[in-house]
Amino acid sequence: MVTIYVNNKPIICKDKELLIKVLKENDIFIPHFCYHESLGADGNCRMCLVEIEGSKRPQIACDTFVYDGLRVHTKSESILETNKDILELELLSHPVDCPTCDQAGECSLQNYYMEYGLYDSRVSVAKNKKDKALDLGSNIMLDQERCVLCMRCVRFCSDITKTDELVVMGRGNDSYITTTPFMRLSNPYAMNVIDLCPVGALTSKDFRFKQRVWFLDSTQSICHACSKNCSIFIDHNAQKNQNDHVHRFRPRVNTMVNGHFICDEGRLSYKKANETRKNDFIMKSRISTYESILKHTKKLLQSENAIALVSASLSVEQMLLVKELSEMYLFDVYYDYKEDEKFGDDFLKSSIKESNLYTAKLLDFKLVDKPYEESLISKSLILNFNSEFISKPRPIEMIEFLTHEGKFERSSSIFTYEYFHNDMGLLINSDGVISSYKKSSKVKSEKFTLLKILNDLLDESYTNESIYEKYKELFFKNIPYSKIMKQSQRLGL
Amino acid sequence: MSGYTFSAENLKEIDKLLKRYPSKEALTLPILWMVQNDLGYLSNIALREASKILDMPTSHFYSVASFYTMFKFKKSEKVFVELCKSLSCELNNSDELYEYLKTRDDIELVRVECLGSCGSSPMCAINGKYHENLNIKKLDTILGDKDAL
Amino acid sequence: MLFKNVSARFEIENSNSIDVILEHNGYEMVKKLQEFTPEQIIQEVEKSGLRGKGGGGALAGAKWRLLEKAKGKKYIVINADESEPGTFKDRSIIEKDPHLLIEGIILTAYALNSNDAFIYIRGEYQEQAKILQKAIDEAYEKGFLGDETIHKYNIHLTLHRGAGAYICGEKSALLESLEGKRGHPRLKPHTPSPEYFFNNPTLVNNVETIATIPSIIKNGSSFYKNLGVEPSCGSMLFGVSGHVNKPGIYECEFGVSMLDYINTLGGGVKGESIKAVITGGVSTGVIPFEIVKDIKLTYEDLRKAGSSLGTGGMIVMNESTCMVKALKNILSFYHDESCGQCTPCREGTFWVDATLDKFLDGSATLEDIEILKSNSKIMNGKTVCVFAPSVSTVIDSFLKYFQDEFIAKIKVDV
Ligand SMILES: Cc1cc2nc3c(=O)[nH]c(=O)nc-3n(C[C@H](O)[C@H](O)[C@H](O)COP(=O)(O)O)c2cc1C
Ligand code: SF4
Ligand code: SF4
Ligand code: FES
Ligand code: FES
Repeated sequence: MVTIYVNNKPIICKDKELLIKVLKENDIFIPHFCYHESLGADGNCRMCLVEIEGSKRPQIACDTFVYDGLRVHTKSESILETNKDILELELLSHPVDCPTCDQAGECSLQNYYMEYGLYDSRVSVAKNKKDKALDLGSNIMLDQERCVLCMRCVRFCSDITKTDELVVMGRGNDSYITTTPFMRLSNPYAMNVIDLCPVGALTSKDFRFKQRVWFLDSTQSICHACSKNCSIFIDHNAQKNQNDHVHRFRPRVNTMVNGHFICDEGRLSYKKANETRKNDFIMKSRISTYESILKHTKKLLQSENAIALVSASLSVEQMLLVKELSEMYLFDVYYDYKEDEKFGDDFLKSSIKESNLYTAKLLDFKLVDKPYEESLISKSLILNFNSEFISKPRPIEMIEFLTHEGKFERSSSIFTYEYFHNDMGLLINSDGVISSYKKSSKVKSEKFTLLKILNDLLDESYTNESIYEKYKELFFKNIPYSKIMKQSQRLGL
Repeated sequence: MSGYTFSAENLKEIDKLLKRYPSKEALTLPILWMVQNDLGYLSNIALREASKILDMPTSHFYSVASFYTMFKFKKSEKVFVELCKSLSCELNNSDELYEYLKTRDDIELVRVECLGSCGSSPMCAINGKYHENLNIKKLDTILGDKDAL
Repeated sequence: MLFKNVSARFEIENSNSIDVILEHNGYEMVKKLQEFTPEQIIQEVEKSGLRGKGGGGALAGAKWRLLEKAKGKKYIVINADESEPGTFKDRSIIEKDPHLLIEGIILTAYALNSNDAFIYIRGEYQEQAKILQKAIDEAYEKGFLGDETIHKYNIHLTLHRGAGAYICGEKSALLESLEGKRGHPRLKPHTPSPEYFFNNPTLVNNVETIATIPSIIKNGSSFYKNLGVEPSCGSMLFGVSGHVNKPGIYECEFGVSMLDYINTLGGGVKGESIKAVITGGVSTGVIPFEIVKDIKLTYEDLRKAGSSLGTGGMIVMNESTCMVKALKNILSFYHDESCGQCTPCREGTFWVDATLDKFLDGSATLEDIEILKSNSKIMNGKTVCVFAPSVSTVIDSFLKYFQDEFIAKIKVDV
């Protein structure tokens, strides 16, 4: 560890660390376009110039390595002027069309522009015209006039996905980003370039003009599209008097799981959050009430010979309560999962599509196969906890706990419960990392959570925390709940 | 669409060069030159073939080629005249040559930066060949002799 | 005033043919190669005070030492990209004595323990590339190059053609280009180090620098060191173009008077009088006649005059020259040639070029002078490579000596 001085204030940091990283980690304002934690430094934008004592010229923070006693200034008059002048150049050929830009509110250019108070343009020469709305493929639109040529998108396609679809063409002031003939942006992670783009040059066709970002509430959550459990933000509508609507999933940085990225399929799986079933309770194909179906279920559990099937995407807490229920009424719990070899790769995407298979196995639930089919013969009640693999070999009483439209709407009794985007919980991914997803405090939920329903069936009042804590020693290496709430933890395989 | 094949001679040259450079990628400019010398421009099909030979994405060839002013993505149908517009030539009246050349519709004219003939300016390159110490009369004679171009 | 060292054989008929040159001491030092140790050659170069002729004027010996100390397979790359307006000296070596260059390359490679050398020649030099390729082929045939050479040192030499990009003369951009990429200059290393070609330590030297080596080895370092005026040792292929009667390349010792050079070798100004001279290619500043008349052609003198010696290619402008138009010409060159990688240069060169248009079409205001000045400031010392700082030098020198011509173009509101 070494001590450096930034604007005369000491900061302790790792020796030889990249200065820009230290500044960012210490919340010191440092404008930058081309540097990105996931891509490293490129040194092209020159926005991050800082003054370094003993150096004749300003130096870029993204190519400066710290050493003991380094003295840096980010706020001296001359460096502020330099930053401002470079920003002015970035804006030289920019169309300044913020009112119609999707990036408004999360655009570095716009933020810096306000920071430096660059309101009156001195530019009196014609702007360099380029293409405005290029469809690159994978739902991505490019506006070349807004591009600051930071090359993040190009570097992503060459260094991270190694698919090389995006290139810079031309030279000098005529340089522009594009795909080349016969190429479309088509890798399964392509949409990450939208988040990487520091300005509004790359935007999502899916999100275009639908919502201004300042009306959104961002919730820390976890993608449920495969067993990798990538950390995400869910951007919900947070406007008053509007029904909750999920506008997008965005990657959330988590070095233990997904780094900075998520796959496009996971990103687009936000749509499923808007397709949940309406808040209803069905008993024998008729709309009923929660209380009556609860009573009905308890009665059946006492009298019938039951078997349960759980989706391997239920949260840790949900599965634990199912386990409690199974011990109370002595039934077996089965799970099933889908494996899609074509989906999996060696980056993020896992071929196992369920997000909590690990826990299902950990709790000793049984895999659906022959014995399940056989044991069904002697059963008279099936409990289905949101599994899509449910089959109904013969007319048999069935209680389902569902987030989405089920297969047997007509013949089952159904509890509707809240999908993960409006709930909280823990998941363990295929690498044995346990993470938490949170519930938005702003978005009001109308449905019951599965935890509440299970508590009611058990006549208990567990919270997410208390049910986890009860079992943490047995199953979870004694890792405290509070620790997982802060950061993912590794359980190991 | 028919394919593009590199001549046996070029393939032999590629083999020779592969031994000289530490990495295949370095053959990018040589291979682009081979295509352009052959076709007069860089065709999509030829670039795809080049990408197979060097085991690099085609996009690489487009991006690289577009950086350099001499590579063309379209064939010039007419006599290709590159008139130097840099300072020594301008001081020696290249503008006059420009005004003259603009009036000719039998040529494709571009103004380029210094070609290293400042000591014999003004100058232009016609189909790549240098012509120096020019004046309108001289230029007119050169362009008149189509066979010699 | 002429001093023929590198250009000694330029006048010989068919001087680019190996048979002719072998009758004029060609490859003399290569034949004696085994009489020297590599270290002896490096020391001679160090002692000679030879400075790079590509524009920077860095001491060649120091650069060689960096490579000598580096570990790994080593490469030698000769910079024949010569694309800076006013500069056409390397071309003369390639056309008139390519074997001298090849001899220099063999000596350099031997001294630095490298078996692979490349010449990166600008794409437009098609004729010159042919001449050079023929010379290389001849040298292979005669056993000076290849795997089994008569001097018992194996070396391969490959000619690599650029394709139209001034920036590829900048050494790190050149290596990017040689690696098959776009010619984007690299970030500068934090400590003195050689260049790298695919991570292998590499020497980049200018054509003329390397063509000077045989004479230093032959005549000894003190011969070279005693030429010129220390620390501008030796001679250089100075060139002159623009408004002169006898434009061309004339080799001189460092230290001759700029005015004498122009008047004697360059045949004097074409027109009434010299108004100004761009001192060594358009990356150097302009100086007015009052300063020209006292300048000696040394690195130090030109530095003192606020310009630099650069490539030694002087551009002379007579009294009729419009300095606004001249600056426009240069800025348009920079706008065309910026690699576009870093913001100040990519946008700045565009802006200043467009601003000069305003002066020429009569729409400029006083603020446009400020715009030129502030752009000059932002392009100075804040970019990846020194391309942009050259633009600052040029703008500053034009405004320093000829600002009144710019003011005169400003539209006056009535
Ligand atoms: C924009 C730019 C263009 C350059 N062009 C050339 C060139 O055409 N030829 C050259 O030898 N050096 C050129 N240089 C200098 C090279 O970077 C490098 O310093 C030189 O080749 C080293 O050789 P030397 O030490 O023998 O001069 C250029 C530098 C810059 C910044
Ligand atoms: S499109 Fe965006 S990410 Fe790509 S180079 Fe331009 S500004 Fe950077
Ligand atoms: S200063 Fe100009 S030429 Fe040099 S790297 Fe930056 S943009 Fe390219
Ligand atoms: S962030 Fe440092 S130069 Fe772009
Ligand atoms: S200025 Fe025209 S050839 Fe150099």
